[in-house]
Amino acid sequence: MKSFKTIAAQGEITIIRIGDAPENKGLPKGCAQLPPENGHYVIGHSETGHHHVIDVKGASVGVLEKAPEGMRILRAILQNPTTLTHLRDHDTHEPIALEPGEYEFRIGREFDPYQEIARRQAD
Amino acid sequence: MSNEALQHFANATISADDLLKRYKIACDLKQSVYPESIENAIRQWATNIGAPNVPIKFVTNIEDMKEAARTAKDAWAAKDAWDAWVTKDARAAWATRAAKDARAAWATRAAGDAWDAWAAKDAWAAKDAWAARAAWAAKDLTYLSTTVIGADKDRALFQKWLPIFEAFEAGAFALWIGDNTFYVAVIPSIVKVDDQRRLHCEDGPAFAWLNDIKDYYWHGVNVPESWIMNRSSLTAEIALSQSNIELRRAACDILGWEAILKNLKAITVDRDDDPQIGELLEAKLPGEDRDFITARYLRVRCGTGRVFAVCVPPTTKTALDAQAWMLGLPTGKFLPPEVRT
Repeated sequence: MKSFKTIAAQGEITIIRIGDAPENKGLPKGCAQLPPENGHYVIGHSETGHHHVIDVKGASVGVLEKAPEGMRILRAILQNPTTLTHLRDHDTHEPIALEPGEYEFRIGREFDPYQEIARRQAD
Repeated sequence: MSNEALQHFANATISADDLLKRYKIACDLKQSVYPESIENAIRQWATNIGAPNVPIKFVTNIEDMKEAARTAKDAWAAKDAWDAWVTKDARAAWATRAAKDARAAWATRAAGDAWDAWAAKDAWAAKDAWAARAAWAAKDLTYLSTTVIGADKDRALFQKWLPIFEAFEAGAFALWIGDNTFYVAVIPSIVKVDDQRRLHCEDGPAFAWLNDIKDYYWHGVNVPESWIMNRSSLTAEIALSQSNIELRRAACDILGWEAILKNLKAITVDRDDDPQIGELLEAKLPGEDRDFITARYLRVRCGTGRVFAVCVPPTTKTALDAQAWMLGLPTGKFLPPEVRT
């Protein structure tokens, strides 16, 4: 388990701590609430099912509706300590501890040289 | 395992430790397959759960598996869920420490790897829809066998589930329960892993099951057969144009980075001192309408120590620019992560 103060990365996901959890607990404007899946919020979706997830308890997660081409940016407000976990049993990215607070998750993008577009990285 | 040995096992008073030892041996999937013993054991178990005289059919190929899955799915739809019907009394046994110990052993042996291989097919459901259905409907005998290990103090439960353990020891692997037929598949013929127990074989299938399933893996990544069996068919252009980053990494691994860079005559544009920031390379890819496409790749090491090539826009000037672009940030706002995993 790793911990950090401001910025960390788990695979293609970069985690930026914005600050303490806001009093009103609401997600910022321009965020669409992310529905939980099987007791988790899927922060990084994997084609092979090896998602990067956090527990739903005490968490509120939204997807930024306007993001640069190919980017997926999530905002999260965590009232409880939790962990970003990679659901894979080999080449697993070590869990990262998340203290209560407001966070941004940026899922990395890549460029398709043939289609000349940016797209989200997949694993 | 001989029938005599199975018979001895069935009649003897045996400790949970001994059961666990036998279970571990079976989980290595090295046992000989005895179809007659499997059939007898499954038939006995069918009788024990109130389905006497049910025909037992062996699944030998993908088509058989489709039929088994379809039949099992239809059967489930027509009655209470199978889990509630048959395994209600087994659940307490599965929760015991002994059964959990057994499953921990299972996870480090070939049986676990084999099921990982099959589970991986589930992820390929878009291409192989049948696999998802088959995976959903099948019963895992390696799991159900742990019932007897957890039930050693409950004689009735032990006797009820012993035939499943015996069937596994005799080489049974998966079971589909239909209304009028039980279908059984025997253990995979090939399960090969690397030193981290990821499915892996450099010169053949890492997973072979039934008559017509051969899956090729490179350190846990399911790759096309041709990449392993006809190495010359895998070119640097094919490797770098894979849209799935794991497949791209596997392809680059198979070819070797030096071969890729040499083949594409890639040149270094910029190299950061930090290997987790990486090296920016430029390569010429074959295009359709043009002679070539200029592409830039960030060759970078991730937190697990693996090296990836991530394509970035051809206008990217430095490795740091590439890192910032990947996160949708201007270079001036990019900060290297304090930790990477």
